[in-house]
Amino acid sequence: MNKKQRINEIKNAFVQSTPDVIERIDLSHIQNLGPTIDPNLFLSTKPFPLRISYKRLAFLFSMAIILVIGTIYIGSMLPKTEAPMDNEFSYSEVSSSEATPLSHAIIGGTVILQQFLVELGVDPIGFVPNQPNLWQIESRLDRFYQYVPILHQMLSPQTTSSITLVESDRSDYQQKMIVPVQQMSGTEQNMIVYLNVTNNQIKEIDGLVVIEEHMFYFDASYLETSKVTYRFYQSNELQDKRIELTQDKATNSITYHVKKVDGSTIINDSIIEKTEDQVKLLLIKNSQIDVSFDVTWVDQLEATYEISTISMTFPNSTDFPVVGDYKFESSLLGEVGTIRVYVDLDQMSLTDKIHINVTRPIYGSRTYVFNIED
Amino acid sequence: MARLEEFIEGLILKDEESFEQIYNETKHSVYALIVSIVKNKADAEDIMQDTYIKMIASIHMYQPKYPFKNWILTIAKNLAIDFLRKKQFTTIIGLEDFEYIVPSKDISPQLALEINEQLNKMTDIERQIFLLHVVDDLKHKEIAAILNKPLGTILWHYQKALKKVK
Repeated sequence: MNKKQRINEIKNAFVQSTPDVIERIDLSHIQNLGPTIDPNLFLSTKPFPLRISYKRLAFLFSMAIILVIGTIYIGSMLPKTEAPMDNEFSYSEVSSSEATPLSHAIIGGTVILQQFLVELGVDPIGFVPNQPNLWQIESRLDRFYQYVPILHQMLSPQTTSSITLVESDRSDYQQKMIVPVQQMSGTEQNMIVYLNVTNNQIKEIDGLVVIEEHMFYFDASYLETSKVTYRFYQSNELQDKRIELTQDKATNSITYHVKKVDGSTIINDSIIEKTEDQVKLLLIKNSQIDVSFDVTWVDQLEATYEISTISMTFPNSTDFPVVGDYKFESSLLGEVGTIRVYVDLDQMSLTDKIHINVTRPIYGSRTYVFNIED
Repeated sequence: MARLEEFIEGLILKDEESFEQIYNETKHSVYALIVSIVKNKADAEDIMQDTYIKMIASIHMYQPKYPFKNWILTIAKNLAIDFLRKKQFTTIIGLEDFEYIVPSKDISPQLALEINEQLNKMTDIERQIFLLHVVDDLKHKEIAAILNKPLGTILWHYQKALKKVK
């Protein structure tokens, strides 16, 4: 029996075992819920009073205290009341007053906090994933996930017979392959791969993948005992994008390297290393930092943990290091997550802590460590 | 297939036929999602009933800009998770295998056993995604919206679930 038949069997079995509860429902006895109740309530079935959690109130309260203390402190320290808030990340306009740098730093800390909340897509009342960034990275990774297993298959010793070798119709590539690809929807389409084998012994190739209207350049090397590296490039008249994945079998880690180049300017250059128990941002550079990713793994009890999205954008920041950690803890009300980020600005030794409580239906606890270094 | 949204006005007026249409169009995915979360047919049946009651009671608050099926499945998911949470405080949930399909006149004991074995190999999230896609042909984007997870995660888990189907 093939997989398709098995899936059909599962479908039929579920369709046949769906119970009929319609007879048990009497429409005339169901009262409408009051119109004043927020429909979003049904996103969670917790009783309404529980949604106004003390943690949230405490968070808002602490935010208010930070703002008030910051304002009072600035008022007492600054010789003038002119607030240098035009550009929250710019510290170049250092005043001659000794107190000024510290005041700047405090303003910076508060503003960074607010900025960080906005960039994370967090409103003070609840956690909202940053959708535009999410979709951007997803569209890249979706394609990426499709190609990696196929390339892996092509490079591995057990090459499947479903790949058809045909004569290359491009002068710049020696080989042409037609690879049937099963889409997630179940439909099949052909992916065309043009290849040059540059080193047959260690299986180094470079090539071009064509699927629908998308073209990806890639190169890959495959060493069974150590590292597998795939690099994908997408170029157009505006931008170059590059995604690189390295799987290191020795350290059991996977490294993602995402690089976006506009002309000769690197817009985004980030390296994320994922091991079994932690994720590290190894490198983030340049004027626009925009990283979001998700991490999922399964623990012994088969529960799935996930960071849905963490996304950071610090416009105009060039060279200050950010170190942070992200921690989940279980509680009776669900799961509470904390993001703490320490921001050091030049030589000012400012350390700012940002606490964000995230309640999500996940079970258990886990600590993520993020190091963002220049 | 008629669009479910066409029957909502009827359901607000407590029209039985409209409800029947909505029920028949959604019952398989509602049941599949619930049973994949609570892992028990009897509990799933009760939660399925609660889902429809809650849906009817709050139908006037449904916002047509969102797909109706996503909405009802979100209600089903939240009720099922809520049920599990309550159950955690009253029952020790073991690691034994669960029965998603029970033998009946249409389903042989052997087939039920095989399906349960394969579904038990999947993680919770893999099972939910797999069943929503397979039983009701929901698109991965729709599943992402219902389960409130990124599309990439959904695709990834679906791939992993597929590998466990033999």
